[in-house]
Amino acid sequence: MVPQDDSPGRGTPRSDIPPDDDSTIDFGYERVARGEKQGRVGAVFDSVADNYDLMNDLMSMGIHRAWKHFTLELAAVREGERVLDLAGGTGDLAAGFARRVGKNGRVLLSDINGAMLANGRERMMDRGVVGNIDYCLANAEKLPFADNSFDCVSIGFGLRNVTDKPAALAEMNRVTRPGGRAIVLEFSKPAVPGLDKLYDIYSFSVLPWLGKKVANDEDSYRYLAESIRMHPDQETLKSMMQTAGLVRCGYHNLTGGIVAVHRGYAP
Amino acid sequence: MTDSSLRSLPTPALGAAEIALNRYLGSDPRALSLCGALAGRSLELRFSDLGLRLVFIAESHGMQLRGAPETEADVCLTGTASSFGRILFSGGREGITGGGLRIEGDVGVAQRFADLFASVDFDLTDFIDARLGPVPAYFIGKGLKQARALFARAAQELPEQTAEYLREETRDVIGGWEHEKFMTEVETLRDDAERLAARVRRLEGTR
Repeated sequence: MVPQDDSPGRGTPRSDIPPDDDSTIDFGYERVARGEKQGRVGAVFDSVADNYDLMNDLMSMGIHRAWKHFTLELAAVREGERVLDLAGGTGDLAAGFARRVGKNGRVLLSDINGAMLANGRERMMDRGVVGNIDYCLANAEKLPFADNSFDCVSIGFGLRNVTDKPAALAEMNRVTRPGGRAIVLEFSKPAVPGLDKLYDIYSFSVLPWLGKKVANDEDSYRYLAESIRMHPDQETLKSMMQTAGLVRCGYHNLTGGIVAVHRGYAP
Repeated sequence: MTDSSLRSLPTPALGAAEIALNRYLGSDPRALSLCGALAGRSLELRFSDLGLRLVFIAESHGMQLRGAPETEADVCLTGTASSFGRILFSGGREGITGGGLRIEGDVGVAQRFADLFASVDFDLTDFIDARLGPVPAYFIGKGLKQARALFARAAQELPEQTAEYLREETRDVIGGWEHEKFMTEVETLRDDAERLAARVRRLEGTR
């Protein structure tokens, strides 16, 4: 699926990859036509959907639960609020939101990938999270919701897979009510000296190996590592959120900056 | 004090403090509505003795905490940690204008923030009741009440008992009556020494 790349320098953001333009965009370290990325990402997630939670636990050594818990706490959703969880995958964030908004609130779990959404829906029912949650197959770049529909909109580990990130952020701003918050939980750039080297070794050696042994899919997990390196760093994403119209934007680094939670408010 | 000389709390501490503050505010609907009314307004606290700054930004869901303001805060309060502490623990009796703080910016906003913090009515048993039900809340509340009484009694008795132990058992310190007796003896000795010195001077003069 993803071509093997054994060239030197793998593991760090590659300077030989030209920046995004009108016709092409990154797909990991590959350049693909803009119209192609969505399908390629879709194929990756079709492939990983069944092992998604297991792989998340293995790859992050369980720390992803703490990252998500912190995100939920930072979102501080209240009883009765309406929350949209974009690229919600198997619904870890949505389940937390559903508990917090209570029976008078509403959570909408959305994903562009049918296999992931189906997995998410099944897991929600297994967890007993029903009654205040709905599901929607939607593209984050073109959300099918009216302006100011939600008190909080989140996207967890999904923005880097979106083809047009500025459009997705603008849509998040549009559907968030004035004063509501938009939250982005995403891999970012290590901010602790020395951590980036260790992280590179882990990402480009251990992750593909785990993908091969556990999910029988090395390429998808190599794409994961590459897409993380191609994702904007903390300050760039913050300025992208500001450009999208969100105000009072800021971020919290987690695990030395491997992950960051960005938050902005709809004006 | 210049802006650049002020430190911020480390990011993890800011995150933890914000989460704790928002849980606290979230326990009181009135506090949340006051937050909503102040949404977008910011308050900067500068602790002059610690060289520390902290920024609160009110939001409809609670409060954002920042290490430094992106733009100038609506109001900035500068003072020592003890000044802020006195106001915080006065239960609203000490106003911000009378607490030895320097206020720059919109005093009205500062007062609204102060009213907000003073108005939060946090009842732990209500909090537990909402999550675990009334029976655990009753027993946990009762246990906490007894624990609080025990700690209060210990806090009151510990200094007295420690002093008594040091005075009567180990004899490392002396009691009040012993101290007075000792001081009287010291004063008597001092008077005697002065008197003796005066006599010696007199004898030397007559020689």
